[in-house]
Amino acid sequence: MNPRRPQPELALTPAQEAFRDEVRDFLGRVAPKQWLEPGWRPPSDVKERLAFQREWDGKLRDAGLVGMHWPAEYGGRGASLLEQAILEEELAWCGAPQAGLTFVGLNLVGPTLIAHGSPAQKTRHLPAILASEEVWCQGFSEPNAGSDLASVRTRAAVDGDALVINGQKVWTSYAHAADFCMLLCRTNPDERRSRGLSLVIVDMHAPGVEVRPLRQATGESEFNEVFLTDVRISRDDVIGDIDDGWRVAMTTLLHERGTALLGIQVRQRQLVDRLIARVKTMERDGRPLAQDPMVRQALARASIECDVVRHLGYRCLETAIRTGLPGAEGSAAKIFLSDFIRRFSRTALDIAGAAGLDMGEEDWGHQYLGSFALSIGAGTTQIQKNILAEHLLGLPRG
Amino acid sequence: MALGATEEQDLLRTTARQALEKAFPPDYARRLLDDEVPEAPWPQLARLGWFGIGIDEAAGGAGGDFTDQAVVLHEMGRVLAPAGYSATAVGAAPLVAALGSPEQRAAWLEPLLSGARLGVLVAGPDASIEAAGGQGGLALSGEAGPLPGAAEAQTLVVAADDASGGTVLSLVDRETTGVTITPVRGLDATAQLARVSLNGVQVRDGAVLGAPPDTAAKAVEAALDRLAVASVAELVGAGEKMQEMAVEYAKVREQFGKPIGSFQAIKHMAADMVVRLESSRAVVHYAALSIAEGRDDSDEAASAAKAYAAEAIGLLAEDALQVHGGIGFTWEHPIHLYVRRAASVARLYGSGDMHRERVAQAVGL
Repeated sequence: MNPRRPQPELALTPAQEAFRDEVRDFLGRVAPKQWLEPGWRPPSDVKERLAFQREWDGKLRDAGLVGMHWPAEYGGRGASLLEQAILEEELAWCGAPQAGLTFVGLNLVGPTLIAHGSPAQKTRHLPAILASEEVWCQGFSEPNAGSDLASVRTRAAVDGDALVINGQKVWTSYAHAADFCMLLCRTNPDERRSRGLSLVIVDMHAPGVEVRPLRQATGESEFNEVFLTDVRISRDDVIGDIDDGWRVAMTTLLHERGTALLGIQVRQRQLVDRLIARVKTMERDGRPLAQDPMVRQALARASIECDVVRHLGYRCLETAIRTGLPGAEGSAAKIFLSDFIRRFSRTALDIAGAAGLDMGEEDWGHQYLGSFALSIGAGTTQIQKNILAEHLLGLPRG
Repeated sequence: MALGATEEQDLLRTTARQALEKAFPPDYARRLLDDEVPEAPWPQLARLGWFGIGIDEAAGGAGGDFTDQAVVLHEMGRVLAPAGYSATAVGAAPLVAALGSPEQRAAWLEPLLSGARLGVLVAGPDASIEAAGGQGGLALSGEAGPLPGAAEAQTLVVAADDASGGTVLSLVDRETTGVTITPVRGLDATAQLARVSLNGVQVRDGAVLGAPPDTAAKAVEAALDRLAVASVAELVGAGEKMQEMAVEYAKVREQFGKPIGSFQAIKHMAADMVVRLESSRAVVHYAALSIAEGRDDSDEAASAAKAYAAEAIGLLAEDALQVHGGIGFTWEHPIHLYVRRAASVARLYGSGDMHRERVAQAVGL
């Protein structure tokens, strides 16, 4: 299937165009074509997945493409947002799995340590993250603290030079494969909300850490529950200051600047194109399905909305490049993206009909159920709308 | 080529906002709806060069491109400026500039650029005009409309099908024998709708734009694409204004002892407005960029923008009126004027279905 590549939406300098062409050429050579086949997924077994990830990261690292957004002094090359976007898109076009095992380390922990970590923490962890030698997970959500993250209860009690952690985390991606966890916990029990929180480093192999896989509605186990019983860490494992964890955590999370969205959009564009190609081969009642006006309208909608995601993503990027801050379009983009994927998945299932329900042959059912990860994770659509209304529009709290 | 606005466009936006808030004060659209015909400030705005944006300075235009014009159109939409600007500066004038001879440009283009005369392109899904050989030229017959901008236009740029099925473009003065323009009382009075009826209208050779049939056909299609995108560029401006009004109202209106903006239902409606506005802004911006650069996806981009933004801002408009509650349903409150604009645009310049069908073809279905 020859993909229709969209035109660029931001002016690229000759150097950036050359970078894009190099990356495209490189990935064309090293990325298996199998990755673009319908329903292909990376190995689900932990050991196999880790080996898969390390091999792929190794190839990217040899080409200087791992952690390139990190500052040069920490082993990156301070790549611009535009270069990151170029890489993100090209990786998506070749079918490379997104948000792999090393994602948290490279994109969440690394930048957090770079901005807030102690020299010892940086020395200990940054090179290892960059070399894909350490896998990290992020311990934030709890059974009673999802949307209301500031209410986390996992307790870290100070005991001399140590902190003793007790509590439970949930929805922890890849905890079963992780060496370390960046954990949000409560160090000040007198404060119930964000003021008493700290961000700490926990060795996942330490005594008292228990990981239980969480099987999600789509069948895979990408997430886990993590139980912490009297887990001891050192004061040196606190990132930033004690009781300042919320601020440290938020400054990193707020740096989602639209490049991930562009990668997701490319994946969706491939699916839209795949559905269109599929429809052209289908018949209903002895007539080509592609001539059915309702099918044509539904596919046009899907194609248009998929392109809207792209245009929104580029507006986000452009604002981030210009001002360094997210703008109104940033708040709108994630909501729009998750709504779009939901609608598109429904359309695909409608068009594929009964045959589309065959999970052995088709992926649309998986995509449909999987779309809830986006409408719920990293801020539910409803909470995002509340935040948008209150912070961007200034509507008063209830 | 940047995606966002350049510094010059930021300045254009500020200047345009100030000029248009003066030229079209809040009661202007309402007076049109009340069947008044207030004096249109077009000559003043023409002095700013706006009618010539996208037309070469050598031809008497102001230079710049369609992305610059989109900035002005956005500001026009915020104040619900009537259709005369778009019909003239987006539809009619660029065609005369591109295809007219020096004599034709002197006679027909100049008055459009100065704001002295308004123009309208008689073409598109709501037009059906035929050209037969006439005395020293052509004879045009057919019907069109309701067409936006036609009610006030003096210069008609008429696209007609000739005997062999090709397209021929003619310049016609409204006062010519056989031309009947019947204003329509539209849902949105600012659209200045009228039906155009041509009954054997004689067009001398000198008033026929001398382009070969497929050049003329392509030029008309490009003009229709620009008009469609212009309509939603304005609509995004109108949507922005509607969102501001709704949010402002939600902050001050109190019920049950608190501002209604504190109710989650209202917050979510307001958040949905932002999503619809920003997504529309993004798709319209790309369409304008694609047209300005002559990209080969510009027809698909134009149809995508028209189909998507007209629907999204239409829904935004409904919520904006709804947030205003009872006062939003009064004649005196301006919000219904904006809702009328949204509902009208969605059904003009090609319906959503028509534009989606065009996208379906573009993606290979």
